[in-house]
Formats: sequence, C-alpha cells, structure tokens
Amino acid sequence: MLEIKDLKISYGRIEALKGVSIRVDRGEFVGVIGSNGAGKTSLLMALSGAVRAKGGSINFDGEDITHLPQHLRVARGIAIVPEGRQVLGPLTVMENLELGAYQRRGTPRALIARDEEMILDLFPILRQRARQLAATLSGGEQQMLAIGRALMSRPRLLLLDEPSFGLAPIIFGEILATLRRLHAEGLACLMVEQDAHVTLESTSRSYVFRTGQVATEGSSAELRQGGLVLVEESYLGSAGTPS
Amino acid sequence: MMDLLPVLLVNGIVFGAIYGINAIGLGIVYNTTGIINFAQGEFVMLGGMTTAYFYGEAGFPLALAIVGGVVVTVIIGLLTERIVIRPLWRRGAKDWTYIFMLFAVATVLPNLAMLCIGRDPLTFPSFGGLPSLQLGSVTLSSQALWVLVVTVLMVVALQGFFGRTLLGKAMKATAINRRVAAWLGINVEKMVAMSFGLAALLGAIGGVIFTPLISTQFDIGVSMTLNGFAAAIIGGMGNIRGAIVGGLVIGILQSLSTAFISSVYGDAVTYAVLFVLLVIWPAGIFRPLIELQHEEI
Repeated sequence: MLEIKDLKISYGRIEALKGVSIRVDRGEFVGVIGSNGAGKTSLLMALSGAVRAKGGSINFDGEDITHLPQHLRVARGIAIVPEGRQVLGPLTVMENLELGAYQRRGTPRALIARDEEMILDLFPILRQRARQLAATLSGGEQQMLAIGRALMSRPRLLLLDEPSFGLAPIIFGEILATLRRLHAEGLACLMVEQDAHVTLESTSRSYVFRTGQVATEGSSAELRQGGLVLVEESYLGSAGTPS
Repeated sequence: MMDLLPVLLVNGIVFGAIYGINAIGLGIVYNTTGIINFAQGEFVMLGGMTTAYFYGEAGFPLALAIVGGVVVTVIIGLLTERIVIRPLWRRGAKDWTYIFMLFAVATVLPNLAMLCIGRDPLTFPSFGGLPSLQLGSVTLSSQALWVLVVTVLMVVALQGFFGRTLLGKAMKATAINRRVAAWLGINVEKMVAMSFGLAALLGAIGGVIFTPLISTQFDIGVSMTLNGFAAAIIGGMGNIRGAIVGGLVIGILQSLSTAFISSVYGDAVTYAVLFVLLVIWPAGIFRPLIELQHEEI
C-alpha cells in the first residue's frame, strides 16, 4: 500500500533522513521508534507533504506521490494526527471534525453527518464537548479530537506522530485501544513513537530509526524479545554499544 | 460651533465605515498570510476610478459601470497575489520582502490609474433609490445611507461566510494555523488567493459607495490604507466588528479635527490618535479574532 524508497530529507544543510526505505501493507499497523532527532517526525512530514523530499520516492497504492501537493494527499487517503495534537483551538469540536472532511466537500452533508456521529460514538466524551472550543479540552480529549478529525477524511492510512506525547498512561492506553479497534476494522496505521515498549506491543512490524536511518526492522514481537538489545542500543547511540 | 457637531458626527461615521471596510480587508489578508497588505487602499481607489471611467468615458449605465469597476478591481487583487505574493511564498521569503513588494504595488497602481484614467478627481452620480433621512438637525443624504446600509450588509455577509460556510471556516482554519490547515487537506495557496480577492472586493465596494459623496482620485490609496490600518489596530486585526468600531473612531476624530483644528490635518490626526492609543493599549483595544500561532519549524 505504502512503499517508501531511499527517502531523503534535509533542512538546509542538516540531513534529517539519509535514505530510508519503509513499507506499510494494506491494513497493517506499523511502528517507527527511535530517540529524539532520529528522523521519525521528518518521515511523517515528508509523507503528509508538509516537507519536500530531497531524494527517493513515495508510492501510495501504485501512485508516485513524492511530489503530489499536500492537500491532494488527504484526498488520496493519507491523514495525519500531528505531534502535540494541533487541534484548531478557537474553533468548536464539531467545526474541527467538519474541517477534517474538507477534502470531501462534494459529499452529501448527510453522509458527513453520519461520519461525525460515528466519531462521537467512538469517543463519547467528544459528544459532551461538541459545542465547546477545542482549546478548552483536556490533552486526552484533544488527542481524541485530532484522531477523529483525521478519520473524517476517511483515510486508508493513518499517520500518528507521537500520540502518547503529554498524556497520562491510562488515557493513552484508552486511545491506543481505540486505534487497535480501528486497525482491526481494516485501517492501516503508521505510528511514530518514542515509547518503544508500547509501540512494540501494539504494532505488528516496527522500524528502529537512528540518526536518520533505519537501524533495525522486523516483526514487533521479535524486536521485543531478541532484538531489544539492538533497540536500546539505538536509543543510546552507537558509542554505548554494550560488550 | 457646537451646532456643527451632529453634522460632523454623521460625516465621521460615513467615512469611518469606509475605513472599517478597509480594516476588514487588511485583517482578512493578515489572517491568512501574516502580511500587512499595504496596497489595500489602492483597491478603494481602483474601485472608484474604474467605475468612474466606465461611467464617464465608456458611457456605461451606472449599475453596469459599478459591476465593471468591482470586477476589474477584484481581478487586479487576484493578480497582485498571483504575480507578487505567490512566487515569494513558494520560495519561503521573509515577511518584510512582502511588505516591500506591496509598497511597490501601492506605487505602481496609482501611477497606472493616473496614466490610464487620468489625474483629475472623478466622480459619478449617487445611486438613488434610497431616501435621504432627516435626523434632527442633520440630513443624511441618500448616498450616505447607501454607505451605511452596504457596510452593515457586508459585515453580516462576512460573518455568515466565516461562521457558517465550510469555505469560510477553511479560511479561518488557515488563519489559526496554516500547517494544520494544510494537513486537513485545505489548499493554503488557494486560501491566500481568496483572501486577496476578498480584500479587493471589499476595497472596491468601499470605493464605489464613497466616491459619489465627494470624488476620488488616483492618489487617495495611501491615506485609505493608513486609516484602514489604524482602524484595524484599534479594532483588533481580523476582528470584523472591531474593525468597524475602529473605523468609526478614526472617521469621527478626523471629521472633528477638520472643523475644530484644520482641514489639512486629516491623516496627521490618525497618526496622533494611533500613537496615543498604542502607548496606552499596546495590544490594541479589541482582541484580534485569532491570535496567530506562529509556526515552529
């Protein structure tokens, strides 16, 4: 479904991604872990089109989208839940959801309303907050809204950037359970996380990033058992290789 | 002298409405781009001048001349975005480069208007259709009433647009956070183009309704920009109602100053008022509609 080959990203002279290749199959839940500055967020920036690729290619459902304008990627079925949630604070919860469906403006209002209902069923707390400004929500509620807003575009691939950021573990656990449910219903997810343990428990396959490159990849179960040494190594950096 | 007061107030309100419309136009562009459009007043000038041209030179009926003038001005507004703003935007230019380029536009457009239409003051008849109102000792002319009615209608229409339509909300989302708007699939460049088109539309309508009151000329744009800017600062950038209130404050103070001080100090009064207000309330009196969250990357 998603095939990234030798992707390179740089900010000025700083290389954030030095050629990474990643694959997400239909309906798969894939994780990307690594320490700060390993290039995880840059990967999602390039995928969502917020940052231009300096090299390599991104292929989505058989189409080369490496240079596709950002707004059209949403139309193709790629939605992002950005780091730090980034809800539109001065707008209401419902307006945030409505704007999530912006690329579906041709769709009859009744269908959009049905999807809004679906999101409010998925996160019942949002129903109570429907008319409130998004800025007044708690961190966990904002994360739910950010996910709901992304789902409103009816994506086939959901990109999640650091969804645990700033959330109490219990709240994040609930959100993760919802994500697993969505995944079970066929939604492919690519989750970027610093929390390796949670990621390896939730995903089927994972990539470990280190300084802009893929250090290790494999099934999350294997990485959890045998490869955890390698995972930890990539967090500590190569200098700290245990003997 | 005090007998004059009601007349001066009404005059100030009518001109203040035009400044308020300009302030709204400035606020719309500022919200989507973070840029102060120093060419905003030129749209007022162009709206009046091109309508006067279509009416006087080309001999169009007034209604058609007005439509023509507004359309031409909106096209010029869109071209300004396309030719001046977008290439810089795509290359990630700094804010001050836009300001410089818009100053260039504010210099070129009056010169073009002077060359193509002429350097003399121009006007066209008032629209008619509305009565003149007698308010105590003051007469509100039919055209002055047009100014107030059209201003109110524009405010209502804009609030409906931003509050109820998906497109309006998308523009608002762009104003709140461009990066997030883009992630939602909103074409940010299109929103920027639309904001220039909308600003030109507002300016053109402002120019068309105010010209029959006195006249217009190729060089009124700078003063219109200044007064609109002052109104926007008082009213809170992007705050539609605040913009109108700010416009009225400036309009009334100018009108009073022409009577009680001297008629030559119009814009100087604006600067003085703005200076005093900003020293007292550095952030403006009204809150901006949206406090721009500056992007971190």
